[in-house]
Amino acid sequence: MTTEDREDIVVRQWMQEFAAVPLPQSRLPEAQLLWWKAELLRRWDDERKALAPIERAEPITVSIGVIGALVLMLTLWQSAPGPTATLIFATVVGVVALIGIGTMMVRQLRH
Amino acid sequence: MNEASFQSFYATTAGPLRAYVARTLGDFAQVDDIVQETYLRLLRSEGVPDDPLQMRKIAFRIASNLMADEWRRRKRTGPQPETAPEPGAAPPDPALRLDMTRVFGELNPQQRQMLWLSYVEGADHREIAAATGVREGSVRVLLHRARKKLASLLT
Repeated sequence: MTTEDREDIVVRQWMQEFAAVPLPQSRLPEAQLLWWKAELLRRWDDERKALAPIERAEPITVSIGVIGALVLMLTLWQSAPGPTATLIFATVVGVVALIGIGTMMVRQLRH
Repeated sequence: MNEASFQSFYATTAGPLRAYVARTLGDFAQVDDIVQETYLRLLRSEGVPDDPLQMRKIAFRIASNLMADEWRRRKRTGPQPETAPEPGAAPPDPALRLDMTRVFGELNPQQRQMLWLSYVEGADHREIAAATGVREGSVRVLLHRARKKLASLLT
């Protein structure tokens, strides 16, 4: 018998004895609880995956909306007389501000 | 996997998995959290095979990864405070238990991991490599060193 074989026997025997030493009491939850927790986390994962493209597209749509509103404002401003131009300007700025605030609020609620 | 098959899988694997994590980590502070997280990750991962043996291997792999994360965290934050003996541990000979734990604690985490998988779980080199993420060729060498070190501590 080689030294290595002897070491293997000693270690094997010792490891079997060590494995038999009881561990402290488990604090693990029941299988059912773990299953439902995982189920809940899976649903959140699915929800996040479904919302990801919308969240990615959100800044693009907002930017397009804002640019569109600015173009409209400039076009109308140039063609309108003095007081009407101011009214158009105020309306467009108000709408853009509302879109911005609305977007931020939706984001806050989502997170 | 359905709930019933998970319950059966959990009943057969929770004990061995907990022992593996506890003995490899060397303390009990994070053991149950790591084991719980292992099952949650297993259940959430996609494409998990229905074969319980394959699932068991995956569970050991996830637990090994979580332990590696824990070692890295401990390296950053410094050594953990000594945990007090927990209730429920009532071995026949507390001194012997303490002595065995101390001897096993002389090995580094990777050596403890390899020895446990090899001698307690009965895993071969390929399975140990799969569970630990170490190359199969390296497992042979590392296991040899671990065995030598433990043998020297015991004799």
